[in-house]
Amino acid sequence: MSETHDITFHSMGSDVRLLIGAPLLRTAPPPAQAAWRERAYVEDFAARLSRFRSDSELSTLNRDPRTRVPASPLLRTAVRAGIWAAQRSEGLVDPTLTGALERAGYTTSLDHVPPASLEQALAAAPARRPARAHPRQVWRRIAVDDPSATVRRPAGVMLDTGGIGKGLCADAVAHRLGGYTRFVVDCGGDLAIGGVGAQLEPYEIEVEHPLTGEAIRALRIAVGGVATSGLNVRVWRDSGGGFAHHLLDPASGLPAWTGLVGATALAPSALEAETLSKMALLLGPRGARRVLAKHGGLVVHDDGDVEEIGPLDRPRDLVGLAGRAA
Amino acid sequence: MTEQAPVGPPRRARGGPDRVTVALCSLTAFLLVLALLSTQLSHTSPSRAAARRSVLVRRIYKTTVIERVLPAGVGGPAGTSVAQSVSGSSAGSVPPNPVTRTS
Repeated sequence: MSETHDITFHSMGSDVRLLIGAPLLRTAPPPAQAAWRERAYVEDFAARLSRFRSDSELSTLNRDPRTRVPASPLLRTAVRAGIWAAQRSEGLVDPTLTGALERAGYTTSLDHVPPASLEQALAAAPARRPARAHPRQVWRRIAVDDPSATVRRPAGVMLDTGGIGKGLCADAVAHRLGGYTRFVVDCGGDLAIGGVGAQLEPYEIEVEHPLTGEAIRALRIAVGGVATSGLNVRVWRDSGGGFAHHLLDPASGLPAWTGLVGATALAPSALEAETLSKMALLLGPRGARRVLAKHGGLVVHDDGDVEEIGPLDRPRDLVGLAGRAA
Repeated sequence: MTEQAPVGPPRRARGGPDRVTVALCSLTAFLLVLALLSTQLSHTSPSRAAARRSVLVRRIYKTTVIERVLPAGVGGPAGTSVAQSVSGSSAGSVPPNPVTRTS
């Protein structure tokens, strides 16, 4: 009889869910014990990298007037992930938009705050156009130095891990669960999937429609990452009576209205899936087709229509399975 | 002159048991072999038949412990969790699939 532990808890401003199968190693703790261990890891990760906690390492970094600031291995890894996402997206997924986010009204966590009506926001939104990278590309001047355990960035530039942090956290927990037959790590919709058992019997991951909340499609995934970016949860009324959301056009520093309300991406890791889904949403329909063509994904247009792009079902072949099990 | 058959007790064709004895012995031997086969058959037949009749039923039971950690103020202090165990061999008893969504 096989046993799976399925734990859900609240962290990082959303629900986190861990599904953990049987241990492969005799020395590994049972799934229930591993679930609590990983819950503690996620909560520590969130507390140290939250932009909304003044005592977090990220807030401490953002307050520091120096250009070179001491940083823990976790913070350095998160900053490095932000730089990686910016490089991967050619500056569209920009970790230096904290100031613009705060000017748009996203100064505190919107956790437990009901979102504004997305339908009304779409009706009031300006003409749709793809987002663009900021021409100055300040993120290129951020550097991580491991020997001196510091992060270097231009004075006054504040960093935000945002969704990249969720993808990174999902990948980190997945790495820690390598001794289990199968697992899913769901950090607020950014999922990392793995385990030898999952290759033999892939998970079915459902994609939620951002407007209706219904399941659009079930994706069969054996290993890798899947993530969704959308406008429906972090949308609010700004001080001018208009609407704003948290996915900004780096070039303008304003919320991006591109013709898409949601994008889901598959990728080898949750971090890359998060990057690709955000890229797809920011680029709009035409750019999304290009971004999602390789690993697969789907987008939801402003009118609610769903468009599937690229290869979606990837149970992955079993080549190399024996080597991994050895 | 006609030749007469010799008069007296019937002459035996050759030495050994007579025909009746041979027939009885053969019948007895046949019945013995038949009884032996019947006995063997009666001892081995039920298990073979049972083996043929048996249906191997394999059920793979999967147990999932579903645990939800309640936020502070909901049903107790922060960190309180509720857990239920879902077990079964059918797809209907499994917990819901993971969902990718906006957060």
